[in-house]
Amino acid sequence: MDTPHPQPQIAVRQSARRASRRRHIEAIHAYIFMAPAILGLLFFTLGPMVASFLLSFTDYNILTDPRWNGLANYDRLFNDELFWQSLRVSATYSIVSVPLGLVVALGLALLLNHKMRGILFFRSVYYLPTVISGVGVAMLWRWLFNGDYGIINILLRGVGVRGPNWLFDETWALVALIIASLWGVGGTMLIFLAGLQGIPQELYEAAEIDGAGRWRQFTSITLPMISHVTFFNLVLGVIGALQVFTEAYVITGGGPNNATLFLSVYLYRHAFQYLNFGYAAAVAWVLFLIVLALTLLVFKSSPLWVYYESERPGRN
Amino acid sequence: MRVHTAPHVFWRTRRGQARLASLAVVIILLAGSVLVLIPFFWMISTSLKQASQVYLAPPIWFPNPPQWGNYVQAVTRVPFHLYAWNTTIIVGLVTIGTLLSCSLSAYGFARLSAPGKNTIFMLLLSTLMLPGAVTLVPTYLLFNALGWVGSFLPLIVPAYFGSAFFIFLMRQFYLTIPRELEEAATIDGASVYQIWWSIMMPLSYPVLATVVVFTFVGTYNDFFTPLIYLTDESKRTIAVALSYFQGSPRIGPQMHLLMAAVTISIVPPLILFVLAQRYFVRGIVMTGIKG
Amino acid sequence: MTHRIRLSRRQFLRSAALGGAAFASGMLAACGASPTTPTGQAPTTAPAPVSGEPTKIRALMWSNGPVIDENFKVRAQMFNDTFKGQYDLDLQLLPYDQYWPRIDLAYGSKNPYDLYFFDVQAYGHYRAGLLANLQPYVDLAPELMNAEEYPVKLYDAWRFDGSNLFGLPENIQVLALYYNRDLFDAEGLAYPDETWTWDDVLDAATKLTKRSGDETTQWGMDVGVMDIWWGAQTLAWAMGGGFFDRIVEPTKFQVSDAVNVQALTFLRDLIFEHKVAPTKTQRSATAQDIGIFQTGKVAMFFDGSWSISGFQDVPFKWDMAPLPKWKDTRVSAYWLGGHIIPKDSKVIDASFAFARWSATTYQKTMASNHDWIPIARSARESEEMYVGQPAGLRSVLGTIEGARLGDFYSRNNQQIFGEVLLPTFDQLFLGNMTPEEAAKKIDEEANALLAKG
Repeated sequence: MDTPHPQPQIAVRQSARRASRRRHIEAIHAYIFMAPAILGLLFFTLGPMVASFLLSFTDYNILTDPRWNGLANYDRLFNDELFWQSLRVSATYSIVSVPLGLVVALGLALLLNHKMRGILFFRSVYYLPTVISGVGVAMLWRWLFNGDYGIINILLRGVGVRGPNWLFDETWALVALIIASLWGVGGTMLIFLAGLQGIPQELYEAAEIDGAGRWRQFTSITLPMISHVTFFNLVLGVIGALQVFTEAYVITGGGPNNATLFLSVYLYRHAFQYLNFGYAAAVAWVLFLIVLALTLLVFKSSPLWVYYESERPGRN
Repeated sequence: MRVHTAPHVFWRTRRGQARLASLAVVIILLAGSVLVLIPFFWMISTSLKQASQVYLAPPIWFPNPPQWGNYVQAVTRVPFHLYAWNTTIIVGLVTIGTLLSCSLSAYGFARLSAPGKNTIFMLLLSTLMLPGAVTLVPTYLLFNALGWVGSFLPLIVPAYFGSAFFIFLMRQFYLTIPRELEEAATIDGASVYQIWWSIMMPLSYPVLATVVVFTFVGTYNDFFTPLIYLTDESKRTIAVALSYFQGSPRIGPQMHLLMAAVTISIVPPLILFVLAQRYFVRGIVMTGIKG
Repeated sequence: MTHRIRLSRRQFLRSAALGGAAFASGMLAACGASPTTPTGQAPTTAPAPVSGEPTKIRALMWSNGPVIDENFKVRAQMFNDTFKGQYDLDLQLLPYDQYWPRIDLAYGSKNPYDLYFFDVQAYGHYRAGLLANLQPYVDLAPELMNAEEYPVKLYDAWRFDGSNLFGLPENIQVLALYYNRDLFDAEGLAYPDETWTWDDVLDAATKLTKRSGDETTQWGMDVGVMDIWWGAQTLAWAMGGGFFDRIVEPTKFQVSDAVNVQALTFLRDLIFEHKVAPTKTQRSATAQDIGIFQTGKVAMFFDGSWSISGFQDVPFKWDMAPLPKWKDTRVSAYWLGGHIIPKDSKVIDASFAFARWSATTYQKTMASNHDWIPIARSARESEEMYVGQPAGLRSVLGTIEGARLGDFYSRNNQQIFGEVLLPTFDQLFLGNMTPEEAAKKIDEEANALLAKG
């Protein structure tokens, strides 16, 4: 795999031997630092991943031992209309919710980065939705989106719009879930906020002296200086959106008429309700490849737009 | 008075502009807060209703008298103190483990070079890309083979071996810290471990606070993993106890009790979040370097 | 819970149980309190406890909320007290969503539970060859097959291989018509009873539907579970139809038969033609996710007997009646709740002892707990059973004998429910499909899935 962020070359003229020795020692230190992650991969995560990959070539119901069935699961998957439907749902959701979520989270973070009294209160309010557990969230959302009494439609009525019966409407159910995802934007917002804390105030002061306006400051200082967190939020946003499960499972159950049948809901059903675990594993690995491809794409593009302080050109 | 005489000029002054901006921010934030808080208001309102009031339409917003007894019931129906203690142990150990293992690993990935590092990093990241539903079964079989099922170990131990999400997050922050600091420290004879501990860690308070909040909330709210791995009722956590207020597909929840339980359950993570904000300030050391 | 959850999974709570009088209620009432094992009740095959260590039984049930869960814990305690030193039942309760994965994982790790409660999913366990045949045990406990005491004919559905019983029933559920007495009183109408036909229901519903302008302010009825396949099928049965050819391993769906389409059309017309029942959309708007009957805005409602406890707190007077007849015929749907035992359990004898105790001695307690309906007639018809319960309950339970099982058992029944029946019935009752179209779609897709087995 390609180096996403190559370490700067050390351009100091030294004897080749000493350099190699230094690299050697550094590598040892690096492995020691990375040891928890490497051991975790070896002990806990890679094994089950490989196992699930192998299981995707079997007929496996969890209950009894798997039976090899070659490519049958993959063959079935590409011919299953519901698989394609769930892929469409997940893709639509991701394409809309990821950018929307990033923009809203960044906007909120900028507002909440404002220095003033009471900001602590506001930060807590906007983070609040992410704190509540899944059990309560489903109830809240069904109530919010209720066609008659839901607060959303009451507000819409206030501006003269007759709102749809969100969760029971094929066209609007997915929109409702996208709106619901915005309510939980607090996590992404918090990461942006942490990123904003790292921008040296001097940069803004210097810009002010140079007569740069607020918009100019935002595009030339804020955006580049938080691009490393934007990058993180984008990658994790894509990974998360394509796997979103709880919302669809508890709020709409995949309906109406499969309008919110996310890939993850589809595969969960096969894994734990239809006793087709092998098939579910095949679906999961197709999803895995899609997510991997998208992630690599984002990584490849990152040198164009992600800026790291430690890589400032001419630094070394 | 000077301020008095020139209100029309006031907004052009720097202070005036700042005030005006603050005002705009407050208005926007207030409007948004109302949207965010209405569901919570409904939740609390429901938690204070009698069972029969839950069914009234249009809904009662201010139940009178409020049924504080619902909270007593929600807490006494289950051995709440025991569950709180279990939760504290699990959440505490997981948070410590995640902070240590992830900040160590992230430093390695961000700053030191070693052959294969980027492959390992992508491998790590790829663990996030496979839906948990399909790794659940092999993972369960693994923990079962280790004899861990029924204990807290499956919930706690993995936290000490890094989490791809947090390693990636911390790596991103470490990458933004100027290298000069480490170079200066190296010249002063500091080892990489000292640099990690006394430079990187203090410089990344905001991200550490983020990791603590995320880990805490995530672990605290997770009811699925404990339900799958724990068998003994005495080992349940608060989130698990909450999931028992749902009723079943046929026999629905007693909404007022469920909402009382949910309301209680959001207090600890909220307190933690407020406390964590102290560390949400721009790098303490950062300002120190300038001088 | 809400309609959404209810429709999205079609299981019910028929398992579990509580209960009631056993077949010789006087004698058993005495033994319930006595720590000594009564003669005739002792599990004949139970091994004598070795070195005083009681046999440990790991049992699993799904959670139904704090109150009912507590009854289950008390039940386990009663059993352990009754068989002190002999058995030690460790009963765990899991939320329904985790219940099945946990059982599957226990099987997968070759360490199955010793006993758990049945729901349709368990048929998959039978098909995987994992369930113990309970027939030899039942044969040694003849009181369980006493046709005076137990509706043994209804047990046939659990003879998965055609002759042997693979689960031991301990409770039963049927469908019923619930009605809001206040609304009937306000209109001066007679209450529904066991003589009512669907035409009577439509008549009353028409009178009870109140409109103000475009808006309906009160509905004569809500079709309730009649818009789910197993609810709708009861009307098809009464008309002489049925959606598939047999319960265990059906080979063919036949919803397109004229009589079945007629049943679907009748139910659908209540909503879209006569407009005496809300559409799904209107229902969800009115129900506010607390259940539409609970709002007091519908006069009649169709649901299972499991809903009785859920209606306890509503702010109006209500009662229940048997499912209405079509012409002269009434066929209700029933569901059995009971225990199944993995064949790899090391303590099948002990597990069966609990299943047996639950179906006999415990039945009386079940009756007085009012959470499940005991399978034993003496408990079901006892006075305790009706204390504080709706007056119509007795006549509703009277329809058990003629009822048919509201399920079918095939390896991929969950997939047929989830991918064919549920979404298609949704579309039908949302008004997006005609009964003919829906029937055709179900037959095609369900038969394709049946063929795959």
